[in-house]
Amino acid sequence: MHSEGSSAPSRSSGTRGDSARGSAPYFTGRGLTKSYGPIDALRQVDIDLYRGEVHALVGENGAGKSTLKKVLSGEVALNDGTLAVDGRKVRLSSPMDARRFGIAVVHQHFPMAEARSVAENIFLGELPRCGPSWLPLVDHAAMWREAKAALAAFSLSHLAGRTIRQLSVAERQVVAIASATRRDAEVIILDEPTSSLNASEVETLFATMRKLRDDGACVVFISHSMEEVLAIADRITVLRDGKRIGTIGANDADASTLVRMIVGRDLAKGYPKSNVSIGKSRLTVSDIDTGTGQSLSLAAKTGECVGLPAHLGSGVDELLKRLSGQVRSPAGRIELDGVDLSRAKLPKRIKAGLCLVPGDAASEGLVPLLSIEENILLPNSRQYTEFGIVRRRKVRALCRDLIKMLDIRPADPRAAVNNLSGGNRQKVVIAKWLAAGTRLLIMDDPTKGVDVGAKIEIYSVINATLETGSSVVLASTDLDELIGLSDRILVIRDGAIVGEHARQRFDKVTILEQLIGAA
Amino acid sequence: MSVAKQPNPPQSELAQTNHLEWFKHNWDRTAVPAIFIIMVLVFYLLNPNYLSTLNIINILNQVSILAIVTVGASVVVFGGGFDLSAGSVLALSAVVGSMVIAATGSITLGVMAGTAAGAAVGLLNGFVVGYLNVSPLIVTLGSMNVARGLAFIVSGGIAIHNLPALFSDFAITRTLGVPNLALGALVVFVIVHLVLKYTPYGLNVYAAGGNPVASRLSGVNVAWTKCMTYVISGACAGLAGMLLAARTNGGEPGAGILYELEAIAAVVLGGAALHGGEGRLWRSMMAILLLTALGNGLNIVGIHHYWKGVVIGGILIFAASLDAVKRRHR
Repeated sequence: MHSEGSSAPSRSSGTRGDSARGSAPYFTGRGLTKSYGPIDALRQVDIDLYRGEVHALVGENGAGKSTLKKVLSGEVALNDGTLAVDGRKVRLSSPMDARRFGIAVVHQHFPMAEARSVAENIFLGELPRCGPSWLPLVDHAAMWREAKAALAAFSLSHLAGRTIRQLSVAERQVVAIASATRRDAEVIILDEPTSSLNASEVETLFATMRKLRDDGACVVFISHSMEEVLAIADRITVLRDGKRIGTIGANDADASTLVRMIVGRDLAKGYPKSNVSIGKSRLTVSDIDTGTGQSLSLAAKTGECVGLPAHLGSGVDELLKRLSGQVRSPAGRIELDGVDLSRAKLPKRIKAGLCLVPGDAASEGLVPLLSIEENILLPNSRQYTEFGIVRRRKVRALCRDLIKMLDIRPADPRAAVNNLSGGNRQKVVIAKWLAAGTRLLIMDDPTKGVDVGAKIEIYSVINATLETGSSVVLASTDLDELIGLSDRILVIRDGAIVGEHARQRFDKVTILEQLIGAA
Repeated sequence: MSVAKQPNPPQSELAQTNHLEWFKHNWDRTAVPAIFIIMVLVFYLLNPNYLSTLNIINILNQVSILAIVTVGASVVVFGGGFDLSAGSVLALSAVVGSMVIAATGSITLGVMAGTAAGAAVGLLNGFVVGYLNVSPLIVTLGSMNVARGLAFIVSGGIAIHNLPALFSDFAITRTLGVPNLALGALVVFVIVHLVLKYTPYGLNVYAAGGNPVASRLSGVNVAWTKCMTYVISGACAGLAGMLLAARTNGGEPGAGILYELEAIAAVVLGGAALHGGEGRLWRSMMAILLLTALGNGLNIVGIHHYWKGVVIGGILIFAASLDAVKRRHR
């Protein structure tokens, strides 16, 4: 660990930002460690940020990028490690502290007052005052002047009078940057700023980043896209499992080196995969357009788990919406066990056995105020109704069986689901669909935001579902998870299938390369 | 494979918790009954006539019509909306139903017409809120004015009188010592209670109110479910209007003003959250009984009825604040 840390600066010699950079780093972090309960989000990470560089942070989901971002911006307190600005030790115990040392963050979804002007948003919370100090009057002239000046740096001063709502995503992004850099910012952290931008908008953003760099700031760029990172970064820090794998100069880096650093060597380990025999064809999807202009086709068999690596912009989200019936696809065909569901609405798809397990159980999967039993009953109430009355006793017996089968805790059908843990909530969602006699479960990142123990339990529930003969389409941002659980992995990028892998020949590097377009 | 489960320690501990502990978790539920009991005692001590048979019957007569409006208001609130039009709908129904009785001589037809008129306005509310996703505040504020205006237009601004004696007799007679109006309210309460508790529709109301997104993704027809809550509310207001017409022996276009707010106040006082998904009908009923008994009590002990609004409003704000504080500590 330590040797890697000390070798990093020498490796970075000769990078693009070298000329603009001073000899000493503006900001240094040493031995940064942060744990959430038993999970180490960051372990002994060292980082140097120089003036006049674009410094990319890359790594898989959960590698520690966002924790490191939060440490730099004062949002979370360190368990261990030291931070120094210009060689002096500092403590960043709040975003305000970070701000004082010139560290500004542009969040992925920067909250703004939608109906107000760009100028007002740039100054939100600190509108310039005029008149006597006891009279709270806004100095509109100064606000407009300064807002225009701030925007002029990015040649966007004509936007000052527009409302936020009128802006494109890229323009909003730049306004957020302008707002963050209004006061002298030495370090500007951009958290996945390109995830919702198109190619030309990305170029605009890069121009902005270059300008900030040339003006002597350090731009920290967090991104999933190797292409973008290699195009803009001067130095790249790779994180994996909360550890820094290394920092390399962009000139020394190429996509495959980076992917290898990101992925590491350990293959899928510890994922319970039961042997379920794969049967006849169940789902056939042909020529579905996910809104990108590209169309894709896929199929799933009974007992088969089809893995779809997902990240923002891959088109997997849109595919799932069209499969589950949340969005109806104008073209293409969806068939389940020979029944055409292409034009069917959501309830009809559920009836046919096509069921969705949303990523966020609490907000989309369950009604938190209702009990486990009532949630399981929701799609199934007709089945248990005689003469207009729900036969609660029958339902309760069914719920007890499901609770036992999936090991839901507490094992009380009458417990309200808002008291359940994340993993147990997700199990209730799956129980609901098992009760409905699901034939195909569409799972949208089912282990997002649940702890490791709960993840393992959800995996065993997925296996239990497969054992009932149901098929599973599993979308996940966690590639290890997909490799551990899937029978087949389809790589989708920009709404088109770019790779198909059978379980016997899973190769994480190849999959990742296809996913990020490095292949 | 099967592992002997440890007896659940928290549960056994829970049984042993003392009363103070129980109160810590449930003081919000006990607030309304407690206020109710204290209030009755105070009024009784100040004037023993408060608990006389005559006055209790009086209170029951007063509460019945509001109680039916409250049943409808509760269903809408449980389903995540609210209905400001109930008071105006009540007046429109009273006028329409009375005119039908006056024209045809048939009480049955008149009551049906009045209730149907209410349900029709409810259907309009429900369609716009449920299917078009317009804010219930705006929709029912609008239909409140529409219904009130129509009540005056249809009646020509004057009360509809000359109704058959049989009609008004219903409202002033008792069956087995209980006022007919109260029995009517009880029947409506029991029916809606059973629907909420035992039918799939009832479950869907709470689900749609609690989390419309998850409900929709579970195959619940959220738009229809919500729409029907307004139809139920409209029908309840319509029936209440007919009972009021019987009681006052005439359909008045200016009747029922602010009934909707008193009903919503009762629902909130009964512990239902205005964002929907929870609440119990019987608790709304208890709250409307409390509000009515309070107004009656103030009158009996000789406090000017101007004070009624101040006291009721105060209790409402107090109860809602308790609830908010409890939520924050949860």
